[in-house]
Amino acid sequence: MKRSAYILIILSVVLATGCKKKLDQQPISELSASLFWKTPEHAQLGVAAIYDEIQKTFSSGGSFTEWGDARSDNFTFGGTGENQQNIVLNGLNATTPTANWDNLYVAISRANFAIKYLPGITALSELQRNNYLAQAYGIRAYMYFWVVRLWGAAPVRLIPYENIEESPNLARSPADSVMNNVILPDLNKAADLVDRSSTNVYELNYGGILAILADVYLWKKDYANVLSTIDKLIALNRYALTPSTPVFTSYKDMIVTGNTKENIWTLNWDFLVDGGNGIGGKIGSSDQTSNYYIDSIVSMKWETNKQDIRRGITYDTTIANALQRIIQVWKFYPLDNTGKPVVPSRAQNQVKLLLYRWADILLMRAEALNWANNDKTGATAIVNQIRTRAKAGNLNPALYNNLATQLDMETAILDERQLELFAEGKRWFDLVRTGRVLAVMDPLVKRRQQMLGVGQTGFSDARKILWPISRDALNKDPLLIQNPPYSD
Amino acid sequence: MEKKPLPAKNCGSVTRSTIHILFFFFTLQFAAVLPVLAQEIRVSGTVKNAEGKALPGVSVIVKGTTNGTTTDPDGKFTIDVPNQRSVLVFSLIGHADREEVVGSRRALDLTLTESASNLDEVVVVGYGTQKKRDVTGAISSIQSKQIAERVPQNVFEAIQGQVPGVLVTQESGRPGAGNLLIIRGMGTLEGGTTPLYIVDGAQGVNIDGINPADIESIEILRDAASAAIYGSAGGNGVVIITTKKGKEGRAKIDLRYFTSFGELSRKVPQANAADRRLLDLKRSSSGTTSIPSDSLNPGYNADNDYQDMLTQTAMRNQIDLGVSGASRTMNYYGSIGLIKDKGLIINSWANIARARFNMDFKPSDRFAFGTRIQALYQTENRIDEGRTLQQAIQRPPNFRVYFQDGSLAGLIGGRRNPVAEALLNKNNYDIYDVSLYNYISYNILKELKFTVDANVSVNNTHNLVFLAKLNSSANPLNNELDDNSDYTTYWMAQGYFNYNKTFGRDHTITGVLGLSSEQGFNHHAEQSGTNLVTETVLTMNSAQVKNPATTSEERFFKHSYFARLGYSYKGRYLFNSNFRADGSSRFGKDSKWGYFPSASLGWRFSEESFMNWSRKYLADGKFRISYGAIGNDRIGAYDAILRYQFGNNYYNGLSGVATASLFGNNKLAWESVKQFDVGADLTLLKGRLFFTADYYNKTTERLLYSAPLPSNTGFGTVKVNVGSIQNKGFEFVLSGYPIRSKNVSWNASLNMSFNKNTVKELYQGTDLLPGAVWKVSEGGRLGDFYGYRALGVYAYDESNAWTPDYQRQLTPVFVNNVFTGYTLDGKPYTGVVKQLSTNGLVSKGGDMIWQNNNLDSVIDDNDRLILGNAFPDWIAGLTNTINYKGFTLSFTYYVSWGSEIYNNARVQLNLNATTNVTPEPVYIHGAWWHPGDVTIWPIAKNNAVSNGRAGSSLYIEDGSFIRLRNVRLSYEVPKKIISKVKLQAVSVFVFGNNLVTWTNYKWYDPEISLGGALTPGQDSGRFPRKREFGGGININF
Repeated sequence: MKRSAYILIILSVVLATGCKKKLDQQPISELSASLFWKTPEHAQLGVAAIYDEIQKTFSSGGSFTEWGDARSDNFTFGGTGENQQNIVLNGLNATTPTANWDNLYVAISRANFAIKYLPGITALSELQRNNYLAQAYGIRAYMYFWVVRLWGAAPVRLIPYENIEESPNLARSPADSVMNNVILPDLNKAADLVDRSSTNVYELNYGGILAILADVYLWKKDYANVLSTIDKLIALNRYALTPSTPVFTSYKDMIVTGNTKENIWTLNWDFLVDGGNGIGGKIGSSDQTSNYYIDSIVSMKWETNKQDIRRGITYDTTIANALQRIIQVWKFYPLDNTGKPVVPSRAQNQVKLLLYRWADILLMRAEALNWANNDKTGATAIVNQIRTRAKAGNLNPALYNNLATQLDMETAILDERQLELFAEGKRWFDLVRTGRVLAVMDPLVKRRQQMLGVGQTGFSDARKILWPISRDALNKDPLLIQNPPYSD
Repeated sequence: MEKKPLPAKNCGSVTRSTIHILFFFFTLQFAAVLPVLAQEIRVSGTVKNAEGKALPGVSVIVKGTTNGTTTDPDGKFTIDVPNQRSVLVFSLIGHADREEVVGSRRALDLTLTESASNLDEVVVVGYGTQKKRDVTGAISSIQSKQIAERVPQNVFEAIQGQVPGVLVTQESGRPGAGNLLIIRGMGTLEGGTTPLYIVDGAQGVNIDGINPADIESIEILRDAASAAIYGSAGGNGVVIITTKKGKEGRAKIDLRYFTSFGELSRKVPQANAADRRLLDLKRSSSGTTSIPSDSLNPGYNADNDYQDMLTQTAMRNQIDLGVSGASRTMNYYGSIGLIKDKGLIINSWANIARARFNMDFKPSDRFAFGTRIQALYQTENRIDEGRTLQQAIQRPPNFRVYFQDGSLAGLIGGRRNPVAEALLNKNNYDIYDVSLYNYISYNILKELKFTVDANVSVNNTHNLVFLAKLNSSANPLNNELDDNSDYTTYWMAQGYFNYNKTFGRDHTITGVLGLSSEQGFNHHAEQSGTNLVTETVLTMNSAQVKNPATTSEERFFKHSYFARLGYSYKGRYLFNSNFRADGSSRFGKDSKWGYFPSASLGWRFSEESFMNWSRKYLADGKFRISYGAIGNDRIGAYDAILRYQFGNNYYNGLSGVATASLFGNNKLAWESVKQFDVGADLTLLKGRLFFTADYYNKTTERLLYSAPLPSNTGFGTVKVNVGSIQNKGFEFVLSGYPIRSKNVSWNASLNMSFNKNTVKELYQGTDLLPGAVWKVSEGGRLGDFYGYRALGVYAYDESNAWTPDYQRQLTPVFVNNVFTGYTLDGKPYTGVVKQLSTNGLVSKGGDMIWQNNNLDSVIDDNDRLILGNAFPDWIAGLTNTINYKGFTLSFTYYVSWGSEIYNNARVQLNLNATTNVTPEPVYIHGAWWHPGDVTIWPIAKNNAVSNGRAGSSLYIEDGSFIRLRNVRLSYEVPKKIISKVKLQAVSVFVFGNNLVTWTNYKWYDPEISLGGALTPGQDSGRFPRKREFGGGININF
């Protein structure tokens, strides 16, 4: 019996020591970093995750709308929610949810990882590898472009953060420096590397890279480069305006699928795997009052020109005829058999975000022609091309001081952009780029404040064109300094 | 590609085969020892007390073995001993032990004298037991008798208020609700605050599976010196639960039944239809209201009392059946308990079945074998509080609940129908849980015992969530089904030596040396879908639209060595030391192993000769001092590894793969808890009075938490080992017998605990702002509420006027309702007038005046300050037991003092963000309406200036309370009566729980769940605790 006890003891010791190697457990349902970026599939899926983060960036908190449209004259507040009121009354503060830039940097980080590790995947052909790299560079530039336009100076990280010993803190680099040293070089690199035969609009292809480049040059007011970049796009001979006859097939299709000759880069969406696109809760869903209603400034432009087909595509004209507030944007949704769009619930919203399309590029070209060459004829021709497609009739110069100055021409172009690209995340940046925020928004904000019965402070301060840095980001990185005057 | 962790599987199967081998040995030895039994000597006798009264329940044990029995109701016993040299040990609580050598005697009558104290009670410590007199750590015990007085439903209710240093809070009042138990304050941010539970020597046993009626004792190891034998798992303290064993004699059958009724102990004031009309009037700009004023309109007359409609009389029925017994070589205890619990909210219920089987087999002096089996089946409907209770309070009282035809209404005006939500939706849980534990022990020498044991636990939890179409907010209406299941396994195997020898008469050495391995595994599966074919079929085949289904798994492994050395000189000078080394798979490559030493000293000064003078008053006195290091290892299984995740990063038909938001820290290691404890145990006045007090200083270092990483890294957080938190405290127990006479005895016990928490250091000194209203900062405390101090409401637009330094508010002067200027200190003011703004808007009449903390022109998040703390300054429990003849009356008070509660339910109510959320009546009546109104409640509109901002001091309430926790009166039916119906004992009892509460707290119940360490003390409208009345009967056959 004593012996059996000893056997027990020995057995349990052996058992225990044998198990010691089990102290190195590897994740079962995830991959350790050391096991990823090895195969061509990894490259494909790693790059897909960068796109996924663009979706999350734009969807989270309805950022796409709040950043690109809601602060402009496109929308005003819908209900009694405080955040909506802060956005449209220029009451942004450090705790405004969409003042948070985390998602943009997550996308940048995913691109950084791809840029670092894609070259190590030897099983990829050079063409494939370069095409993936081009997308990573291009998206990184695109995300930094959003950061710079919204917050100005930005912390820049181009190599992934992988070592806990390294200080994670970074101060902000000036906006110009980010533009010239990060965004433009990345885009040029992307343009060199990209597989020019790829025409998939749901990926950042050569056309998409050139479109971002044109947008960046326009932001810099480098009109010569805008024109030369757009010339390259024209030379591709790939894009054209989608015809508007019959209306409810082609033009609508261009907006709903985002995959026609007009579309250059479209963010795909499938609510089953991507979740509902946050744009729904902001400007139209079946299960909640929209945060933002269409500002009557916009709808009145259409109501005075009712043959414009974009009017009926954008909103419910019966509501407009009844002089009620227009609470939903219809343009993104397919039509049912009665010809009315079906606005989905928030959870089932799968709007494909039209990041760049040909009408946008043409109007950019008009803006550049106007300022670079004072070519009002060329610019007017483009505006009329867009208006003709929309059956809106030609531009009436009388409305724009007979286009006496370049500024008048610009006003006409911007008005056209507002109607054509309504709710596509462009208007706010048009106002910022052309220095019109205060002129347009100050009286409007005052009027909204008056209606709400609060003090009429207006837009008040041009420095508030930039967003505040979120309290969360400031708290996490002591090297960050708040944009004035938000730090007051 | 992905490698399967094959070694793990091999190892697991080794363990299983080992268990088989152990069983084989057991059978072998069972056969071998049978002949030995025949040579034993049978001894019988009677045990009486000094007054000559027979003593039942005296434990009679053959010394050096676990072979034993207990005396029957007539004090009689019979026991077989191996030989004439055998020594019998007689012991009974409250009496001095007696040892008798059997010799040639076959009959043995003796008397036990009442001892001065309970010092001979046995206390279970890790991997062994100690006599209470030899304990050198801070250990509290709760015995089965105390537990029975509480009529508890679970282990936590049995503990609350009974011992010092232990804070127990229930998650909510719903049937089957979970509990939180904190020992000596929270010392961790994310390491989890639950203590380690050891059930009959095994880890990993589900505490919810234990019927409190099956518990013999609960020991709570509060200090590090006691808990250090459990190393990295003991950082939050250790709770050791010992379940009952059969006692020798006739098989005993216990039947217990009770039933109870519960009611909402308090209703929250809620707006009625008239209040709502006033609100709409105050909100309208035109001075009219959209709600019909026509008294014939059904919308006018409807005036629902939602709290009445949503609640019912709760009912709890519990029946327990236990069978136990023992023979010379074995004892057994089996029980089954059933609970049927109908909750306060309509359609909330839980049915619980718990079973246990304990068996010990001791075929020889040297060899013992035992098993513990525990099983739980629980099924419940867990009502979603957010969709019922919180909605009920917010919904306008004139909205319909039922239509004229009696059918339930769905969503109206964006507000859920709480009754329909409760009745139609489902949140069903089915939980199966089994633990199987076996041990084999062998005495290699008389003083050296070897034990090997293993525990296997399996838990399967299935959760079905169904949201009915009627309650949908989608357009068109849609239903939803979620089906989640978790399959969790755990095994632990350990082997250890126990050594116990006395040299000469004065030197006693005890020791433990052992090792253990444990592994946990979880498999999680979830699937969901919408557009059900029919709402009567709630399985996934019913869903016409299916969301992607997913499963995930994780595993951890831990391996440990442990040792204890104890020395006692004459029982007067005591020394104990524990050591443990733990290796865990959860931690970084470079820090897999942690080491946890401890030491404690005890001095029974009352034994010293210079204390002879005090014998008359001081029966026993002991000083204790201890210091130890323990750890906390409870973090995610793979937090130390930089991981790529997938399954939620889809784009364009591809499942993207991306880094997790948590950065993998390969240096991640233990959180270390160092604790100093000094205490004294005194027994006074011949055992009529006991006093125990402890002071402790517990410092958690290398704090484990998710530190935020700057956005530029692309990661959200990283688990780090930086920072420290300190908990200092004092706790004491004073118990005694104010009355102890022949017929009447009154036992009272008071325990109090004071704890002070300080955050000493954080990663890069960065404050943590978890949630909207908390701040964790160096020098602050955990649970600090961080928000805005409300100073009142501007009476006029012109009241927003301040001196240029923003220190003083100016007073506007009106003459015939025309503003004429300002005064300061009663004198006209002509200086510069400054105004405060929020969100870019200047505050006007009716807006909140917030404390302008940084004295600038803007009220923003820089103006927040610490407004309170979620943790009580002290807690206390007072337990009384009064016996008179066959009657026993016991009652317990529980006090929690000095905590604040953030009443988020009221914040949400008074926010004015959603038209149909109806504020509380006091707000509606008090809200600012016209210029000049002086009130604390802002204008009843949302005007974009954050009047209802999160963290307003208006809603940080005093959470102190005194509660009559339970009262129980029982009556033991005299033997004379019951012996006629062939019963052993019968008692009947009535009881009440939560009968009276004294508090200033405005919502249902100040005893809210504390929640996690980062965001404690928020009440979002939890399921209220009930006031309960009941009665029952215990029968012994």
